[in-house]
Amino acid sequence: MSTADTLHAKYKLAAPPENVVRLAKLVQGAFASNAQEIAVIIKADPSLTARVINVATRGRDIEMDIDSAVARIGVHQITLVVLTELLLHAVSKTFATMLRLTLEAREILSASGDQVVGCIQFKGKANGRVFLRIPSKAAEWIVPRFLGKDLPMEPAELLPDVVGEILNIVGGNFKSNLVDAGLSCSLSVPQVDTRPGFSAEVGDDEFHLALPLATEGTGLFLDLIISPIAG
Amino acid sequence: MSKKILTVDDSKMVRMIVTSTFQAFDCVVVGAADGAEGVEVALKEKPDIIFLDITMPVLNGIETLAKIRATPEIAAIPVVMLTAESDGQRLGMADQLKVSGYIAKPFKGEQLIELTKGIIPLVLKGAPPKAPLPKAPLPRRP
Repeated sequence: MSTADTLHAKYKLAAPPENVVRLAKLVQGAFASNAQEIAVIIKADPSLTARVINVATRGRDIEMDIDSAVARIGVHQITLVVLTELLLHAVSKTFATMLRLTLEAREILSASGDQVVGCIQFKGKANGRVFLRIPSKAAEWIVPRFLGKDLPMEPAELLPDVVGEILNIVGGNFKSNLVDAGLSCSLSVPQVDTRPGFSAEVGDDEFHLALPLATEGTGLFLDLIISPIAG
Repeated sequence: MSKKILTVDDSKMVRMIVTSTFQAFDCVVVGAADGAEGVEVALKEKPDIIFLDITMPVLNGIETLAKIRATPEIAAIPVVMLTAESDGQRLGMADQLKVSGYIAKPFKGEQLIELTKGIIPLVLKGAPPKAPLPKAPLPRRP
């Protein structure tokens, strides 16, 4: 048993699910493994396999096996896909525990009107930023789900704090999984503002993945921007 | 006598959730929005228990915990970490600084109540005070 496992047991903290541990270790291993070894690990995870093939075929209806997909997109982009899976897991867990809501990835039109935009940065072996955007009009239903109906102020006034805290939780979970897999990672405090539109500023050498997510009340948007990972 | 709970978190939302979680109990919840303010409020209010976040501006939760342990007036107050960072490194640091509990976010209010009950007595509001047990006569020796 590792020190982390011993401390998790001492404080009765649930161990991360097995697939999350495997994904985090895959990110760590990706710095040293070759494409064939990575493909073998990905095959054990149907959701990750589907996402990697989707990235490799650029969403087109082409038959492709996982070995070809891994060879086509390369180790660095595989790492991005795996990091995205880790983030999505953290987002789903947060919404399920604190809002009793199930999120699903779905094509949604971009939000109209004002949006509350939160950003958290992570630094270490992997460097990047995560944006969470929630349309301002969603405040009326999302804030009471977090805090109950007796609110001391208007839901719209509390939405920025809700977005900041969701990002804080998502970032903390993401970081903890990476650190326990042996990768260094530090997090910034979330920055939140309200703006009429959003356009991610992406550097020439950065990857950008936009993930629209839908739940019963509205759509929300997750953007992951990550710098190339040094080997 | 009412118990006093201090929640130190930069998120107003978390401070509100902690406050509403303990609404049914005979206790007062006070809040602070960062670690430095948390130490100040702890010195002024002398709470019975502190819930402490880690990722905060000014002074993070681990620095705050170290400051609490180094300040004799508040050093013995039980501290429970309430944070999204639950990796082995953070746990190890908090463990060395003698935390009384660790709750990983996302969390449910019931987790706070269950853990708190194991550290300080919580009494429901309006519950009658516990009457002392009547003294039983000593058994006669045969």
